[in-house]
Amino acid sequence: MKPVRRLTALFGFFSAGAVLLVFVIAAFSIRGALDQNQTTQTNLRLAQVDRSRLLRLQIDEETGVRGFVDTQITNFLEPYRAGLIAFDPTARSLATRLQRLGLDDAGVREESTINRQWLQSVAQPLIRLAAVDGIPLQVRGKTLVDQFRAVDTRLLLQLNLAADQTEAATSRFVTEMLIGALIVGLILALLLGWLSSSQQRLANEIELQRLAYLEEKRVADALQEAFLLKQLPDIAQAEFHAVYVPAGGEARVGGDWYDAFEVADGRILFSIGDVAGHGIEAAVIMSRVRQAMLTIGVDEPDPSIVLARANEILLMQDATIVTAICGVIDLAQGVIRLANAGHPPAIVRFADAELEKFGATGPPLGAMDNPKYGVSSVLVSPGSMFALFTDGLIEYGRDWDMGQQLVEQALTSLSPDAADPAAALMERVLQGAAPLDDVAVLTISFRETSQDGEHAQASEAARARPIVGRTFRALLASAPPLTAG
Amino acid sequence: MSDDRFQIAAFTGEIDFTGRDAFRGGLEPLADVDVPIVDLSAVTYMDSSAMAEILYLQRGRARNGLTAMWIVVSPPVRRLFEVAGLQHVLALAGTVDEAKAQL
Repeated sequence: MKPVRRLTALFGFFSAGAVLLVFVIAAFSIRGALDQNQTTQTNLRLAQVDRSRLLRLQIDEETGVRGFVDTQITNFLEPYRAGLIAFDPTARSLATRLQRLGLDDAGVREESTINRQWLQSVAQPLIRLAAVDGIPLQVRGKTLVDQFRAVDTRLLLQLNLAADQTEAATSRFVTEMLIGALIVGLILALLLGWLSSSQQRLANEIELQRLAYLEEKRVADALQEAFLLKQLPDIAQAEFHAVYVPAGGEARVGGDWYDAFEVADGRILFSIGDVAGHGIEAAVIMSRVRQAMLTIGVDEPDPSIVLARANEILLMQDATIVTAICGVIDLAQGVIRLANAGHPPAIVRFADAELEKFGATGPPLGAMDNPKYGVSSVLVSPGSMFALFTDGLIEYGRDWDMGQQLVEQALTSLSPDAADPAAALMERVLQGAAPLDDVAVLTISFRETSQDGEHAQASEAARARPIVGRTFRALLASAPPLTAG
Repeated sequence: MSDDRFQIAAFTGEIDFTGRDAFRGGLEPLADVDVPIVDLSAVTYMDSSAMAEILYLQRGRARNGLTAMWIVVSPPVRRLFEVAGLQHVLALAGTVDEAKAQL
């Protein structure tokens, strides 16, 4: 949830920033366009000033000459002379302004030409031939002056048109910028809205998934709790301990189990196993296999037959693969028999801290039809401890040999007085870390002494020959199974 | 990967329950071919759920009357099969050539 909210906030922040940026850019562009318009209009006005001044100079020259011709008073020539001096600079100024404005300066050049023609062919002859009849010259002068005024009118219109066009272009640009900014802002706002709503949908989906996960976890926890054996056998000859740790971080019902039941004739039936896979399906298979093994084991003292029949039942249901150890403690005979269907080895720690492993005596359950399971046997040895566990304990480091070694080291160094050897073994191997897979551990510790008369007799025999006990196991292990499944 | 006679499915890296579906998908083409080889020689780690997929395939083939398949194993995978007591049940080989020579 939190990352999604952060993402939404981030989108919001950037979208708002983008909208702001677009409007700032638009504002600056409009401001620039208005400034540019102001400058152009000013230059156009200055060009108008130059244009009207040029016209006035031409008029001054013309009226000065006409006054002089009429009166022969040289004072009348003052405006003419002043015009002569100022005309060309003014014309150049106007031409430069027009060029800077990007306008055609042909009109100015034309006016200069007309002015020159008028000076050369009208004004100067009239001044020089003051007493002569100047009517024809004056007629020509009038024609040139009319031409000059026509060109001036053209220039006036040209400048007015340029001013209008600049104004219109600026107005169009400002309008376009405003509309563009509004459209971009609208698009970004819509995008932000869409993103927000999709983020919200995503957040809702994640929330639903989280709730489903919590519900699944609740069911998984309840199932696991229901499947865990509540009561281990309470007998004088041995102490049973078990511990179960689910895989860290995921709501998965594991397919691991352990069982130990006192059945009949002083026999204790125990098992440990692991169903391949996880989830409700694995849990159901686990429950069926356990029940099958218990039902068969109540009457059947040979663990290899228990496994073989459980295999048949599993194959009938076309179910998954299961690894398991099934063992029978025969307290009357002081013997433990066990068969191992592809499960990590059971390990016995004898009183002198030596270890013996009881590996697979056949393939996992459900793998094939009619498998043969061998039986390993060991005499009940006071002070010894059986440790059975699921592969989560040795797969912890993803290295079977290393995992096995860790378990063996932990078992060797385990104190015989440990209050809960199963928990102690788990703790020593995992060292507080959450396992990658579920882990179940079952330990059976055979007591050194007992007040129970019957057991005292059995354990007396075992105590007397603990070494023989191991030899006996080794012999039986290499012999054919007691009964084939 | 295949040549004239063999159908080979090869896998690499680590295979655990998180990649179980992909592994199953990779094995599927071998379900009904005559001479299948599962090449796990480049697999560095395999858990029991992946092992179960191999056993399902083997089980299905056996039920359909098809021959056993050869499995080419890396040392860690061989160790897994040995722990599970499968070394005498499955046909294991060290290399693809070794498996082909047996077929």
